[in-house]
Amino acid sequence: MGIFTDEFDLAGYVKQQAMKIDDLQNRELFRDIIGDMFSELYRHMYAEYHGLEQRMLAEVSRPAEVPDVMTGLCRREDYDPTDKELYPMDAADLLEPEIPAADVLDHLQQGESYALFPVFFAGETATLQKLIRERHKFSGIVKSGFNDAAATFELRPCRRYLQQIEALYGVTNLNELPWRSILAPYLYKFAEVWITSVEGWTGEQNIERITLDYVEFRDIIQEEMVPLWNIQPYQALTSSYPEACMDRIAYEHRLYAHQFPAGGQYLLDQSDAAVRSVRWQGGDLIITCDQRERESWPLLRFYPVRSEEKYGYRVYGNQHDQSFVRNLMAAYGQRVKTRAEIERFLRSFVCMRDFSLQDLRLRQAAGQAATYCTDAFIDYEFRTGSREYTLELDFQAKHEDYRNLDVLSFLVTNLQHYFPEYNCAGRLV
Amino acid sequence: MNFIWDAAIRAKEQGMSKADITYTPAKDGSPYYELAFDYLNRKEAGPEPIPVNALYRFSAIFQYLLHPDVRYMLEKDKEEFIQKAFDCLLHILCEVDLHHGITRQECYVRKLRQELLAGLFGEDAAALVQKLPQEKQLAVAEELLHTMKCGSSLQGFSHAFQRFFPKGILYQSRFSPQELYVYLDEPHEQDREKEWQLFCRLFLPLDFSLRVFWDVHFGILGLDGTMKDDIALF
Repeated sequence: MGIFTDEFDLAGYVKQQAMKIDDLQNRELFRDIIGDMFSELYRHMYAEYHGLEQRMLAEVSRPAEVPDVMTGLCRREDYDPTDKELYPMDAADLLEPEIPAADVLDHLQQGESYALFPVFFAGETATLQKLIRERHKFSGIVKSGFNDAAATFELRPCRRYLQQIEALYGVTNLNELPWRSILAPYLYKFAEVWITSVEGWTGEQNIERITLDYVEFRDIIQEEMVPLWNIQPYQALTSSYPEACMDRIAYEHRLYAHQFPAGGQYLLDQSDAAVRSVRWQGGDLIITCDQRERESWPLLRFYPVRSEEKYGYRVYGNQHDQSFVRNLMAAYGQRVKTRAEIERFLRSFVCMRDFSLQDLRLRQAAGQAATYCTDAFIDYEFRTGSREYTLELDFQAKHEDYRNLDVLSFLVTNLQHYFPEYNCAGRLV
Repeated sequence: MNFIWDAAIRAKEQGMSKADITYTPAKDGSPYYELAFDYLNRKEAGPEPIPVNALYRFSAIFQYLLHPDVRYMLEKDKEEFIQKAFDCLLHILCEVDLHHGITRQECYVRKLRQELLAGLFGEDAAALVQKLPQEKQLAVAEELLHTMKCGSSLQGFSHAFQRFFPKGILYQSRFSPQELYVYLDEPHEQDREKEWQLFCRLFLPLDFSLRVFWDVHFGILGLDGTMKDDIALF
């Protein structure tokens, strides 16, 4: 359906009218001239109208933005190195971790604990937070060549993957793009296993294996899990001699299009030079900076991900629809504080399809929110002062899933950016 | 009714389609009117062919086809063809007429209506809008565009309110400006209730609280008209 409704069906009309002409010669003439020639002319006229429609709508252009970030998860042995969609966030995760026995013992003898490896918690993020907060102790066995030693362990926050997400915030700034929250439910469910004590172990032998007894969390806490995302580091070189800029201080480095294989989007990762601007021109990347030497640039390549599920885990991303109304809202830049707009805003994210918004209300006294802020590292940007009103949103999930609240947290964080004057809090009903 | 597009719009109002009307060259047309009905004040279209003085606006197109010499002497045996060709050409010209007002605004409104119906504002909103007649759907989209241009406000809400509930009265509390009272002056029916809910969802800014009265007005001290007969108390 285009914007033109009630189009007159000339071809059908001609067919119907032709039968009403009694004189056969006249009928034939009518079919030839009106049926063929004028119907084509008419079709051409409408094609032009539709072209006009497309041009008018295309005038409201899509705002420039950071490419979609997709995240997934897999067991270490399942990962396929030829995968062209998802890559490990940390390539070292694919290797068997080596635990330096002497180092561990050193720390333990000094009364300190030692971080061993990350684990994935396939349950509610809040439950994991509680285990960490209460310093829940797990018992286990450190197995060496000669003997088994009993040890105690606890879970502590695992920040390393979240820090990689945070690092993207700097990358978006470097590329002069507005920040987009990232949906990475798996990363909030990682915890680091720390060994806190061990009995009867000298540390002279290498550690062969560490086995933990997770008791009631046996099925939920999973070892050897690797978080994945669609980002890979990528190197590209300045393709020609840098060109001078009109300020006589900066230089333009042009990186020819052939360096950038199609099917990916690229952002400048970091630079020692003071970068003035990063822009794309006809497929070439032009970096304006204060360095005049030809050099190699670290970039990030964002791969498109079509799979909805990989390695047995759902792929989550911050993609949104490409609707006209979204572009129009961005073009007018006004805030629309209506329920329908909130619904539209939330539904514009692909991940909203698993939920429906049941109700929302403004309240002065707020309860405890079930959702958390997925952009906590820039909390200060929008949580200024204490807010008078809380915008409570009730969602209904279409399927029960341990990642639901994490997805909602992402959605609510996005809404929080949109409505900074309210404290946005989501919950499942 | 004076122009060929007039006849098409009137036909639609009468529940006919554009294919149900036929145009025929007027025998004795007035040079001051495009449609050559016997009565100047005629209000309905069809079912008989509508006589048109095509030379009124389109003489450059029709001066050959409608020339008496062509019609009655040279091409007498083509009379049926000329009749039908004339009708089809006028249908095409009528389509051009009906697209006269293509503007950015109109284009955006129609696209918004399309996305509203596609469920971008929620499935239930789409289902409710679907039930409205097309003009109302477009009116909703137009008000929506207005809100997007100016941001949501009480003024925008009241503008839309007057458009969709022309009999209604909107009150704002003097003591707390974010409290609104609405008297709709309509019987409380289920369908209308749903439309009202949709309306609030689309246009009422979040910060306002609203109380609605359907068929019975509430009493206001000092306003005698509101203190008679059946009054709602709260």
